[in-house]
Amino acid sequence: MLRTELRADAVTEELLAKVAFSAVPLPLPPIGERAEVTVDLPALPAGPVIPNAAVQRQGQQLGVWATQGDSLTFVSVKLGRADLDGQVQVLQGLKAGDAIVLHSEKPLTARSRIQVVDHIPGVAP
Amino acid sequence: MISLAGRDIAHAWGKFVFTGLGLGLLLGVTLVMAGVYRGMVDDGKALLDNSGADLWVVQRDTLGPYAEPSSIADDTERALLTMPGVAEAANVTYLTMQVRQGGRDVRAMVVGIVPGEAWGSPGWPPALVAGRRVTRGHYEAMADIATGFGLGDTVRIRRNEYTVVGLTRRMVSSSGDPMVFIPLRDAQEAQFLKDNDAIVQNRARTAANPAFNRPGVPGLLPAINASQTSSNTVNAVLVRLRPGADPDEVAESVRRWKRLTVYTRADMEDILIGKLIATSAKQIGMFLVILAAVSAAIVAFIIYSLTMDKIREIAVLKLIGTRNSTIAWMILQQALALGVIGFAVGKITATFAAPLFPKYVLLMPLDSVFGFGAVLVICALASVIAIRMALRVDPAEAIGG
Repeated sequence: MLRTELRADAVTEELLAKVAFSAVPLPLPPIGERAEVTVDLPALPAGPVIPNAAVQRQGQQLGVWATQGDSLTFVSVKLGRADLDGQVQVLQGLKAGDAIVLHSEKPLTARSRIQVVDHIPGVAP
Repeated sequence: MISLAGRDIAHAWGKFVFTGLGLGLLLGVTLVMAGVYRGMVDDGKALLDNSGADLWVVQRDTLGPYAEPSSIADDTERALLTMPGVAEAANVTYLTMQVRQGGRDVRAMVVGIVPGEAWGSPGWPPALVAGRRVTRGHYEAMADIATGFGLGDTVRIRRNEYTVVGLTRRMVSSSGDPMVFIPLRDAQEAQFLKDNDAIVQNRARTAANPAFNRPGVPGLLPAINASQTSSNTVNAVLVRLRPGADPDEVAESVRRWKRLTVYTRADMEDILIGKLIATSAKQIGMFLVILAAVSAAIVAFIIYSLTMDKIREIAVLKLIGTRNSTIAWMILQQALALGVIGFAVGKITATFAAPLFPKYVLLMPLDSVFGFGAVLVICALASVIAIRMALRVDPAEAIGG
């Protein structure tokens, strides 16, 4: 990343960034071409992460459905950074080893009866 | 006391059971028809539930975004966020189109949602059945499993290709088309940006217009071209309210101060159920009435012919002094038994057939209870003619030629 523009787009909340090539490709891509750039940030210290499909919202709270046997409880969590592969850092609310609901057939409530399966029937794994 | 009806049924049970089966299939169709109607209403409600919104802000004086096209500027969202009572506001676009994958295409409603770390904000699917949520701002999609797409599939929506990263279930439009969620910017392009040929032709058209292509103003033409191809409209803004905020009050203040049309959840249900599916619902209602009438006619005919078959036996019964009420009760019991068999067969058929339908068929237990009651009433009424026939028979017929 060479520099980011000072001015952001008021609507899309996006910044114009200028990216430099570390190895200049030959032939050079045409001017005005749209490019997809992934920025590699320095790695964060190891910590618990969850897949973003597990994150649910109840009212104003973000959290996950934690399972204990057959019972469900909604645990509100504080999330940290997310990566492009769909993993989100959990800063507060869960500890390593907690069981949470990743995918569900229907939106869950605290009274939902659950059956834990490896993958949901009818959906290719 | 012996059961006359039971004895009679046991005597010719094959005929009775097959008649019941036939009637059952007819009742099954009736139940499925009711299920189709319930499914349509449920699709509409699912659409509203899954959007997760309390208020829908749309173009003024339109019934958008589902029943009519609506387009509003995408910065309206910001203005709405400043209104008292509003907790969240999210731009959303809806476009029903054919989504192509490989050689086939699927009719789907493409929903543009604000990407990023806003999981669970209005417009997002509440739960996934596989995969993950969209994380990139472009070229990723979440699709409903009814589309038949799988994780990792590449689908084409207008100008761009998208990778399916997550799957949902029961995310459908009001007409039952499965949804495909893509990032908002892409969805805006899909909806408002034309193909390359059209863009080039449009540029030529603009360049040919002397008002836009002035020799003295060099930057004007590119600026106009750029503004023609940029899309900053969305179909609606979905608003979620703060706990305790009154939807009608907030809606009224948005109407008054932002000069836009706002619908609450109740308004939206009225629009979807009262306007969007009203004609289809009436169509199905008409079918239900016809099927009920046909079923009643068939039951009446069957009971009548069953009674006529044993008119001689009934005459014998009368001859030996059986009371009229006993004979009437026998025929009524048979009619009701036929209704019960028919209903059981119909209910089982409907339950097994419902998932095979391409659109959602929702069989409500209450409908079944009501249907059962209706079948019994129809059977009882249908037996009246047969009973009248049986009671008028002359006992002398038992010994006559």
